[in-house]
Amino acid sequence: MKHDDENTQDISESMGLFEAALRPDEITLESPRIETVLVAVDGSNQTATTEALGRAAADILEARIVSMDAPPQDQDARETVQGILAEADRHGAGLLVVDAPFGEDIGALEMQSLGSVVDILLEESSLPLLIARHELGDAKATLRNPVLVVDWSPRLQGPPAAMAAALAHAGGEVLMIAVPEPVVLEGIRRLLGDEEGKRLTDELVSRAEVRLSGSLVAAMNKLADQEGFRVRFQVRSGSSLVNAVTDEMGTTERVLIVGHGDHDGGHGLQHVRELILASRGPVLAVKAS
Amino acid sequence: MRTFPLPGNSRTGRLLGLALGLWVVLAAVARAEGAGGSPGGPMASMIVLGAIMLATYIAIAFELLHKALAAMCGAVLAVIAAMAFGLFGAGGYETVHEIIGHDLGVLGVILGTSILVEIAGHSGLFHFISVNIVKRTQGEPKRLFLYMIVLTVLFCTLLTIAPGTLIMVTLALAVTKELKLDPKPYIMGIALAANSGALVTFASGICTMMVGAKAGLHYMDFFRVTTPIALLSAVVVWAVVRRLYRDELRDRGDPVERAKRVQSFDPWALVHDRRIFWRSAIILLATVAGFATAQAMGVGLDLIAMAGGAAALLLSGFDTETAIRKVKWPLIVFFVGLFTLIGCVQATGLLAKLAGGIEALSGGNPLATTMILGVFVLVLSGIVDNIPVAATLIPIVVAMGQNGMDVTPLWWTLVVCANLGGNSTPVGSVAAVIAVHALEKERNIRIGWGEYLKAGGLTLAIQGVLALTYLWAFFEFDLFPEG
Repeated sequence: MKHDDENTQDISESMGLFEAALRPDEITLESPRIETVLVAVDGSNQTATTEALGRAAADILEARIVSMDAPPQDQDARETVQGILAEADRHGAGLLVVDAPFGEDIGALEMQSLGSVVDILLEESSLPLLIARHELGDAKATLRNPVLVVDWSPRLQGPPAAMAAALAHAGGEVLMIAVPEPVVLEGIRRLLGDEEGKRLTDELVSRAEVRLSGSLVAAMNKLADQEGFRVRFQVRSGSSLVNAVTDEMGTTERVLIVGHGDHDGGHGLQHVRELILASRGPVLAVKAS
Repeated sequence: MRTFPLPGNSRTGRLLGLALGLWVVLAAVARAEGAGGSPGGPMASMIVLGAIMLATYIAIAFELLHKALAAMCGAVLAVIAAMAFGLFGAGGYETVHEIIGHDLGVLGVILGTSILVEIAGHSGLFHFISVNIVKRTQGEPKRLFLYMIVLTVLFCTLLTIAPGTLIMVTLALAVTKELKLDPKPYIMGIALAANSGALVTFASGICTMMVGAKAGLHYMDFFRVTTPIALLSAVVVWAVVRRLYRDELRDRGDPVERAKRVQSFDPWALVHDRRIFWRSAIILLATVAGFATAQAMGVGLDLIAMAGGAAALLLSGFDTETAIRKVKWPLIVFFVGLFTLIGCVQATGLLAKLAGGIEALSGGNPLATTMILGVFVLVLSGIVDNIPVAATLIPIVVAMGQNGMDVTPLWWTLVVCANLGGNSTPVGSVAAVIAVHALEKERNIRIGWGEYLKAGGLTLAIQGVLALTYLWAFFEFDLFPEG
């Protein structure tokens, strides 16, 4: 009987599941304390969407909302960022809401960049940054059903996941997506060493993703029990992170939550920029390190 | 994933030679016995189609070809031969479709349960249950071994033998690695206990389903006839493996540290979608309830299985394409080929002749026939995959029934012995193949034929004596349900 090849993939999948349960890492999901949401609008045609998103976030997080007019685009971006951060500091803001127009709202050239204010905020602010993109139907529903990009490094999974849970509590749904990216593959290859690394196949990569996400899945399941939201976890093999995320975001109106930090192998800032640019829906970038 | 192994040139050559040889024999016999191309005599057709069946079984047993491909080749040759001998009579080629049609019920049960089991197996439900149970053992080796045997029987009962074994083998490999225990006794115990699980209910094993569907055995009757011997045979596995691997199962290391390690296991990491998790559990239980009540409702088990599969696809949120792609299509192809081949051989009268031979051997004594069949199946199922063994014996038992014998005891004997018979060798059952392969792939540990034969052979010897005694008692005290 030649059952060997037929069963190899199933064995690997099942092993990955058990390994995830049997080797738990320490993941703490601390609920983010956000008392103030700062909405910075610049008078563009995205202003209404940005304000609606800010109001919805404040409502869900039971925070107060503060709005400010950010200086127009022709001013020095770094000065504008300093103004936003000073205002955030003054009000004790825990979440910033800004916009980065998408698609038909902007020209072809602008589609390739986020705008320098958002770029600088991503680099310099440690606060979660909610970026409005295209016009939204129901801002609150969008925020309540986040898509969470799972970082392969368990150390960096906590803060974005806690933010997703805070938004989805009481009836929402968090869809957790882990995508084995080339950068992740390299990281796993390094972990496995030379000999094993050469034998790295798609099924082993998926297995590693399941294994590395196991503790987060467990923590989110338990939190979902307490907070009354739904959790789904998927490993999307065979496509890039951007493609996997845009596939998902293309069919439903959801906020995309992505963590970033100063670390090797995980989702770096450039990765986050690519995701924001590709996303039609709003993106919540959370600094995780 | 490579599903069909590509045969080497020399193997291909041998097979082509075999096919060509069979064709030459077929043509020569047909010409010698029939005038002007008319069909040959009955003996010639028996010899030719019997040879095709034998060649197919040899190809399966010795892995000359993938079993699905072997069955397809056998079916094509058998149909051509049957046409050449004019075996289909007035029905002509349509008879082939009638042959396949007779077995649609079995195919429906396998198809429906495959989809349902695929979804239930991937919902994390059984992984979740198993880790929770392992936590209760505190990592104590002997208790862990006992719980794994119990879980194997339970999972194979509910999920069928292949997916049940797969979950348990991977659990054993992962847990023993974490607790630094020798995986061999656990893997061996699971491989052997899985065959006990496969005969607990009608829908627990492919072989069981085949015989049950063909014989019209009632789902509830399995609890009366096969469940007790299934549990008893699992106890034998537990006792034999525990005895043979007593050194490996000795409690070594720090039990406090191990218990602490086991307590850190987190089963919630296994649940990727609670909606699929709960819904698949409910649908699985509803399907089992459906199987139990199908007879009373006047419907076939294939309808229940297909309804379960459809409900799982509809309500679980599991991707339909993925679930259907995961159906064991090679098994379905294998069945279609095998049933066609056997149908053609049956048309020659060879199987009826064999039935007569067995009856003559037993002197027409039904009890002796039951025992002869039992021993034959127990031995043969260890050498050849138990599915072709059962598939061939089914029409022989049917023929015995047509000769006036009460074949109810024979059906139950076939179910019990075909499942347990796979225990003796590492190629006798799908559970053994999965277990041995996974151990080697994941831990680079080999269980050779000698070692497997020692544990499996001893287990089967005790199980065989028990099973035959059990069947004898059922026969003697007229305990078999009405056919």
